[in-house]
Amino acid sequence: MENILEVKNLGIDLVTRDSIRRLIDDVSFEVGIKQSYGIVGESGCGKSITAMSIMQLLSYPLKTGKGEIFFDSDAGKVDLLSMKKEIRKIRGKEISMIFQEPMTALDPIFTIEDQIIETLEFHTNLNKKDMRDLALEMLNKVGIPRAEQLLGEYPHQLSGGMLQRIMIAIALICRPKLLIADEPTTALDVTIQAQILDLMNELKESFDTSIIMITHDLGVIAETCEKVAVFYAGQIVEETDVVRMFHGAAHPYTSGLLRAVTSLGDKSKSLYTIPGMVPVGGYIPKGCRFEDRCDRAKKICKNNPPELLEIEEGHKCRCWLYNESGDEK
Amino acid sequence: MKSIKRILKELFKDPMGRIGLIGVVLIIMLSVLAPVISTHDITEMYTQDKLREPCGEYLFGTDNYGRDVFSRIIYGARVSLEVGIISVGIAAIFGLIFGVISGYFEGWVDNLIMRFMDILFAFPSILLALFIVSALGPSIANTMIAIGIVNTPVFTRTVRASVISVKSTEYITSARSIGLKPASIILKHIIPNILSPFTVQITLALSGAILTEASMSFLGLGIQPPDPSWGSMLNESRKYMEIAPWLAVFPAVFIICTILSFNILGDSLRDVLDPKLKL
Repeated sequence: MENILEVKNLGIDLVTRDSIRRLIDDVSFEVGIKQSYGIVGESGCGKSITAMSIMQLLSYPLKTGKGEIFFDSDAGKVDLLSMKKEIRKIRGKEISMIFQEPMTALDPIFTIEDQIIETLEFHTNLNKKDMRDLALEMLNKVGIPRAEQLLGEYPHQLSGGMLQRIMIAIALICRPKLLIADEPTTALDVTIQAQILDLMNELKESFDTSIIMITHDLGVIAETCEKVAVFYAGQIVEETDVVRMFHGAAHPYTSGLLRAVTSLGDKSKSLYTIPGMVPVGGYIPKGCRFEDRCDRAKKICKNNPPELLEIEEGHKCRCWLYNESGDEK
Repeated sequence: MKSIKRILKELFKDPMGRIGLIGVVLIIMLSVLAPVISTHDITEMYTQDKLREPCGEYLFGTDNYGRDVFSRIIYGARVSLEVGIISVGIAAIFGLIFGVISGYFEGWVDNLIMRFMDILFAFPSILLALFIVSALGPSIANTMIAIGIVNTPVFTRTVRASVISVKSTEYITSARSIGLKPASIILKHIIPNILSPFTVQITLALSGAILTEASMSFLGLGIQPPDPSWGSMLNESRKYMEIAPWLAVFPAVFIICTILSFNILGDSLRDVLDPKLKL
């Protein structure tokens, strides 16, 4: 198996007392070994819950409705979604996760040392001293000065950038095969963002880790990823490598996103926005989900949902513009 | 340990907190040192000194049997505190267990527990306590059990609400993402993080429990004679209110001061422990 992770036809449901609404529909993608895979999309398009579902971290009322997620674990290929308690052995050891808000992702009442060691206590048989040494080593690797002193401090004494470095240290301490980063830089200011991204790139090389990078920031994608999936309203609308996304985006939504990026020196009076709103979770149009916001919509888009098709090698797109069977209508 | 010291320090900085803390410490001292402080035997009837006014010999006077009111009040503090602490302890332990289960697992377990608590809530607390005691028979142990049961729903609700809010924080998701079991998440991350609302609830419930005990004893279904209780002393004083008002005044003053001290301490503790109010 050359892929570390294969997501097949994933569907995630919002289960309420009297209805089931499908939020994520038919999402499939593969992450290669040592690959950085980017997932990009607007708020509410389902990026985060897709990431959470990989480790079965969804909690009521969200539930994975269908699909399979294969992971190349130490014990061979396993379907993460069908695992029960055994998944705890994988969490934190073979797959780990970094969260959006470093300020709230650490328990306020424990010291940094306790929280780094917690993962080791659960997954290894090291003694206290070795764990402490390993923690120190990790803190040095993520570029934290005065690591020794910092071990005894509490999360509220540290800045967001520091805490995110600590989160990365915790996530990588067991040398996982896959790191899921859920908007790791969104809550940080721009200079720190760049440092954190550099750090992640470096560590990815030295730890041989694959990364799933979830973000709404195309700059982050450009900086870190090799392959990208663009999410819209719970579906992948385009999947390609990062160069092709920036220079030959096929889907009107992706081109819209790229046009909405502002650059320094841009003198135009108003910023470009894609008109309209993302369809609210679960209430989805019959045809193409992007149809009412799309400036290139055709008649067929209204009532017929397009398929995710390979339009050239390694470039998939979910749009009637690239589907010959849709041309005549 | 360090944080307890810090909390005490901050409590002392707040003038109201200081009053509450001093009041509570005084009452605890009274009950612990009762044998030393009391001037007479509490059951001894000085038949020649019935209904004596407060004087040098009998600081708070004597009652209709000639018993020393001062000593009985001191021992009454002991009974009140005992009943308060044990019954609140019962309520706190069960409330913590039910609240954590309810808040953490949600779903049908939550529904079952909370609906049961709603039923307990539906009765006025004194009525429910009286009902339980009349079913079990009046005694000091049954009074504690009854007050404990009456207070359990309040604890369950407080704990459940805090658990739900802590559970939705990222550090809990993060704890799950490193592979911790639900049991270790609850013990290591959730319970320590809900301790402040829990502690505040304990101080506030203590005053309520003491008051409920006094009311039950007043109605004759709490502490049974000859054990001294502020509530039953009040009850006995009714007949002599006109000729011996001190019989009513002293227990009442002690009840008021105790409740007030615990309430003030609870309020001030809440201010100290709630980081949101400290901004």
